[in-house]
Amino acid sequence: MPGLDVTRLTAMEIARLVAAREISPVEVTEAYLERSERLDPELHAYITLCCDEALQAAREAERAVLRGERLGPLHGVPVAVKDQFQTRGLRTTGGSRILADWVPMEDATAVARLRQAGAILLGKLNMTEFASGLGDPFRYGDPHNPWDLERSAGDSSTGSAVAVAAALCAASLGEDTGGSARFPASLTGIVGLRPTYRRVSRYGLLPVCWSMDTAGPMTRTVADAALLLQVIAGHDAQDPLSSRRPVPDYLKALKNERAGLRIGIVRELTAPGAVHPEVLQAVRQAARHLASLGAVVEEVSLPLLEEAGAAMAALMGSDAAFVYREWLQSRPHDLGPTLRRGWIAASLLPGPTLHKAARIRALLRREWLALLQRYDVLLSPTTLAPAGKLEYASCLQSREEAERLFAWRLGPTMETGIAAIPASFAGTPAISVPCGFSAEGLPIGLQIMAGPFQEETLFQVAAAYERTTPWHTVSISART
Amino acid sequence: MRELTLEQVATLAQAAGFDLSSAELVDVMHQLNVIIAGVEKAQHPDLDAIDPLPILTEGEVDDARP
Repeated sequence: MPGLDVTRLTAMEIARLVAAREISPVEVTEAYLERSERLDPELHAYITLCCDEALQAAREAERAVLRGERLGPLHGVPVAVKDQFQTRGLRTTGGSRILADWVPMEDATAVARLRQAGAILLGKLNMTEFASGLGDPFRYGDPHNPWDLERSAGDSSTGSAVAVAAALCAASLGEDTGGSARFPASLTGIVGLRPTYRRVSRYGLLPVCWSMDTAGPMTRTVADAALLLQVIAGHDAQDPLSSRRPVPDYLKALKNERAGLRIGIVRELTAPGAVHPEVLQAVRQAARHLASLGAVVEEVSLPLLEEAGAAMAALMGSDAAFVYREWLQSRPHDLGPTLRRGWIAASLLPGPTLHKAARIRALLRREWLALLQRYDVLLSPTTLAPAGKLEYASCLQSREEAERLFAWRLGPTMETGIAAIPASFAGTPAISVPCGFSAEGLPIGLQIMAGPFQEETLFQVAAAYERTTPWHTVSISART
Repeated sequence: MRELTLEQVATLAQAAGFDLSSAELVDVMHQLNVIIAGVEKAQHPDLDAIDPLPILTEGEVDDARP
């Protein structure tokens, strides 16, 4: 289509136009590859860009279109995935130099389902080392926030967010253990979904913490997130924990408007002084907006949240340290220094601390589920401040430095990532959608959270908000 | 639980097979103590009573519907 910049289209629009033979999968793939080759040397969204394989898949998709075949709902849509997902015949680094040359024999189930649905895999996206290396420089170059190149784009599905925000792919997959999909989505002005734990197979996903790891879509619109979840959700015999519950028609759910929704806004995550004032203003405005659409909005409290950060650090750190213990012992200096020291510390945690952390998680889950019996969705900021400057930790030589490093885990300060904890501990779904910009022009994210397997409700609320606000449009038009 | 001393952390690290420089030992000690103190700080009357299940049960899923 002359004059149409195909990289500005949503995944749904690409799929529709490909099916209608109005655009070609080759044309769209070439446009994304050209853009990625031009912009990514600065953005560092990709670890591996697979031009030849993507173009070959695009040509096959085009031939299928010409034969009148439809491969699936993502036929001809160029996507990319976090380098935490195994990919058949394509190296999978997990963001670590240790796996620089590892080429898996098979796809992660989520990747296989994307391919079966007709998606074209453009490449593997940058991430912190083993989705855990907070505080170290990225091992394959630091991703930059497209809204301000000196700013962080969050951790750990960083490349997945940057690539979508900068239109280097139509949509991506991230992974969220303790906020790793939601934080980068919030800081780059895109949509990031953490589905219910067990809704998406974990097979072929490099693990962080088995009881919280969750793969999810990162997209420009809520409808695209629903479309990708539709494709990747569902039971997988290779992940025995994956749910056998039927996968609802998420796209159909998007069209249903529900009146009289009960919405709770989490007091601890919207306390003045604990949240950046511009973030607080944007989230409160979003709550008022949802009320104007007919929802009843009330404040709710989750007192245990303020003490939950250390439990998250203990549970995530000890699990990951155990999973990667052989490399921690045999190749410690091939790991980033902050990651290495953090995993060693987690390996040495006393048993009573780990047992108590597990009980804190169970108790917080119980309180969270009780709130979700009273409210259809709960709201908070996704991150309590806009994107900060890119900076890294050094070796900690004082208790104060250690507390600062773990500030995001220990309380709702401006650097904190504590807003992710309820959904991560409870295994319940959460979505981040753009809800405004700071005075410096940095995106702000609204977190909407629902009960287990209530993604339809999540999508309904998020889509209603998106339909009636301009933020996702601003995101797209403001990109380079 | 009392805070771990540098000597105690060095002994633990050695027993676990980690070879750490003195600067790294200090770092690990601070991280350990911050996490231990943070977990210790959480108090709730039901903490001893609740089963520390790591993931949602099917019963919890069914009960959670509004």
